[in-house]
Amino acid sequence: MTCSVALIFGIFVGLTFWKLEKDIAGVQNRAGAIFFTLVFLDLLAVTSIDSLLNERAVIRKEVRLGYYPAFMYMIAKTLVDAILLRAIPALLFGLPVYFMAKLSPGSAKTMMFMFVLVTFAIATQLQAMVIVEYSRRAGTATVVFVMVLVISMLFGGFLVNADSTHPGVAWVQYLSLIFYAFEAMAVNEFKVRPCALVYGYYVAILS
Amino acid sequence: MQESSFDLAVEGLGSIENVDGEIIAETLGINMGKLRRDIVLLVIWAGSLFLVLLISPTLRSLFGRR
Repeated sequence: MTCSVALIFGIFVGLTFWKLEKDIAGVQNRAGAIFFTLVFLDLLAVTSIDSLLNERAVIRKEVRLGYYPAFMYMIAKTLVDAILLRAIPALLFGLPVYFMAKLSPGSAKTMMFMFVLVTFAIATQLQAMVIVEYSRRAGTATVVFVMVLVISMLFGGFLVNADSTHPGVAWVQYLSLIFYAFEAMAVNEFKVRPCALVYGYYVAILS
Repeated sequence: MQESSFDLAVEGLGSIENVDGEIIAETLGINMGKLRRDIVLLVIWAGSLFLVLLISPTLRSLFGRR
């Protein structure tokens, strides 16, 4: 269901940001499309809260009985969720948006966009899992998750320029996952010279 | 009506190919030279969160929570 929701929403957002022009309005819309994509994937991570809380009692009992160590469950859960519930929906959402909005052409830029998107989606899932792991109830986990999401959005780089904020809070942007992903995608989109991605390595080489 | 200096500046920017990337970056508050840094930090953030997750049972037992 997550995949179908991501695909349908991706097409809807692609139609909303349809064939963006290369002018000032286009710049604003491109930044908005990138920011919205990241916020959507961050919100999608809330689905981790429910599944983890439902499984928690059973898993702790099985760990206590010695069936498997707790870290093995975390590794298995992270891998399965990362591929099925984060990476694939991120691609199903990002690909329609990228091509329908006519973001920067070229295979290198497209691959870079998708790579940052998938990495961001997995990071938000891990963030949600950490919040749930240290929360006793679903209500607490949800409130903490929403607070973290809102602060991430605020300091994500699109709503407010962190350089113009009070120095006492400007450092918060470095805790925002959206900030790193948004800046990386914005540089990938707006930088005139193309960048090349070395396949198989998590490194971008700028020409 | 005389055009304001802002109107003239916007008109002069034209299409995105004509615009220096630094102008766009400055408008959005983005540092155009930080692509590699941002990607590395994003991966480090994800790795750190994963490590915190792995040690959470140990932390819970240390603080006496079940």
